[in-house]
Amino acid sequence: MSMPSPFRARAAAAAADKALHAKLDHASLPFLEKRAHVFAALPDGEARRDRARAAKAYAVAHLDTLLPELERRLVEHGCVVHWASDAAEACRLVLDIAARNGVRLVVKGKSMVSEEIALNASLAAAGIEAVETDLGEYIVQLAGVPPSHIITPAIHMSQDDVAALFTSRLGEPRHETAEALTAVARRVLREKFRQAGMGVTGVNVASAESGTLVVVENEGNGRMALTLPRVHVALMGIEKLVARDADLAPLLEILPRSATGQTLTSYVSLVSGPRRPGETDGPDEVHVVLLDNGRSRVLADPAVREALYCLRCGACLNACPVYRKVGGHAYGYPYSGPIGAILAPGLLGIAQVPDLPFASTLCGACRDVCPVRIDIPRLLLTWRARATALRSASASERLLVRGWRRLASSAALYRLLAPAARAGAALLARVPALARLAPPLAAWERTRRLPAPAAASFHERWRARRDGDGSRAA
Amino acid sequence: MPAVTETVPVPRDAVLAAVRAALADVSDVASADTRPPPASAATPSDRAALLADFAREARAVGTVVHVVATVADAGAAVATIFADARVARAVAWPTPLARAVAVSAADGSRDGLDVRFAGTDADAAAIAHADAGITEADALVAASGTLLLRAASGARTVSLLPPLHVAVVPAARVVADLGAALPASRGRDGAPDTCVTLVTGPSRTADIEKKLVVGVHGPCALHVIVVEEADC
Repeated sequence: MSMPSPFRARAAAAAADKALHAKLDHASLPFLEKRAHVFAALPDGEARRDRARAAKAYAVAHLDTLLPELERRLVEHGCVVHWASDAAEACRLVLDIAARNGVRLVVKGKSMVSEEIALNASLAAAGIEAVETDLGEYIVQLAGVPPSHIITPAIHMSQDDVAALFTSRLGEPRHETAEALTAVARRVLREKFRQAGMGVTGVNVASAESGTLVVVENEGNGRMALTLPRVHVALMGIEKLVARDADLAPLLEILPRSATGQTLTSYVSLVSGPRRPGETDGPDEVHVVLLDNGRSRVLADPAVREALYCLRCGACLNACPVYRKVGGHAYGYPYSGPIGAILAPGLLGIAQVPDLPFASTLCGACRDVCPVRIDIPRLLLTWRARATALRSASASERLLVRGWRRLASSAALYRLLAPAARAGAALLARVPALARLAPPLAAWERTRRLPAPAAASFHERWRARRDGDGSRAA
Repeated sequence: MPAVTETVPVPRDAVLAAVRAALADVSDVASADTRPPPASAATPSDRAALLADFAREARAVGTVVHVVATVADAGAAVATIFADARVARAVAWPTPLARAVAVSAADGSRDGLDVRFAGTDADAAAIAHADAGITEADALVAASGTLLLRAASGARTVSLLPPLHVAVVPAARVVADLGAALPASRGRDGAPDTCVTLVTGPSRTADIEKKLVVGVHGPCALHVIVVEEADC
């Protein structure tokens, strides 16, 4: 996938868009609040996160045996299992299945993997209509833009934006409520579900033990896509599995809580195969596409391997102060936010996206909310080091870092120079025009003010506290 | 003509070879401990407490919960629900309980109710155009207010296409949590169902400005009739 423009340019534009910030805060902050509330109400919530992480860690470390086991079980149930090394292979597989079945119309449940492989563009190039059916995905498809959030694809759009879109693209009268707009989607898409020859969905998790594919959703569009058309194609990354059926409940107990703050989503489908004799509905064919597309490269890299534990809940996006200022489109990749900033370098190669790991303040909020406790800040630092190693630093940067290393590793030198540095910083804070003369400080001063240093240094305060009141400091 | 000696790897072999190579450094990871947590003192063990939990959690997500004594009471409750929602055409699963309740509801209906059964006299079009669907839940999950529906028990579209979904269920089928419910999705031969659906409230979305809208693609309303004296 090509990067349309550098991250910094897109982020700068988004960072100046106050209306965008309001929309992002409006949607993401309530998710965070509800998430905190439902985790507090869940008995042993923290222990459940540990168990979910253990289940994913075990599965990822045993993919070599679990993937063939999953394949064997699915085939026993009558599924057809396909393997794809990259996006092009995956798209070709789906096109072949569509061609063999004479499919002209595809209905899609929400699938981030399908965004990753740009399936809709491949289908369109082959003359096959693909319709997104999750309301948010339907909206962004009509708008002609990619989703800007893993869970809430149209998070960057207001109700007015959606109403205007439905008027211009669907010829609808101007609708004034979310209910009326949703009813339009229900009516239009119900007809698409009826006509479609193929349904494509993602897979949230699969159990290798029984060969079960789990699809989690709220609207019922996923159920439609995997029930009504004659052919169901399930797309899944090779990391999306657990070893045992007993691992499914612990994951299902924390995924919706982390994503939307729900105890459980309205619908969870556990699919094992096509319709059996005696059953009156369900697809005649179930195809499962197991996609690598860079995952085995991440798997081979112990420093970043745990990125493969991700459940795609979107909690780290909601929690991230950078995501809430730049939105998903700035990242230029279907997986945005903190998880996108560690997945994109792994799946695409750091040379493709050297800026993304720097899109973070390293505040750690993402790690705190991650249901499987991925140490996202540590992975960001790993990718930063690798991105930095790729480029040659300027002479002044090298000099600065060498000087800092000298200063910070010598207590005497530090103590000697610290008062001068503080005086300088105080002067810069008082006279911003001076700060604007030095390039790195000028960049800082464009959007914020340099804070004045405290009146006394930490060392001075510590000494005063120790000498003045030994009992409290001890 | 020279023989083709270069073989193109099959994608399956290529992916698995890459995965095996990637895991070469992994000696062993202790087996994942995902056992359910020990039951705390507050965990209700008796059926009445579990049912109370189920009702509370289900109502919290917009499910209407009715607890009745007999199959006849369930039929009367469904007749009332259908009268309020102006249901003229209903489709039902052919399971003994769903059938009995549906027949009883039709008998108790003042305005006349056309009930058909999926798998016998209700075809796909009848299900698609019905005002309501009646199913029988295979389990109730107390912790999340969830119904478990097995495809082996009846047509999947009965709980999906009509705007109103009514599920009947014997009270004895309530279990504490998902971990206890999922084994209930196994057939007698131990093979997993074609499809098991967990239903927690009506179809919903918050994709437009976080505003909750109920009834997107699936049912707009969900009623659960818990029957205390039904055979399990």
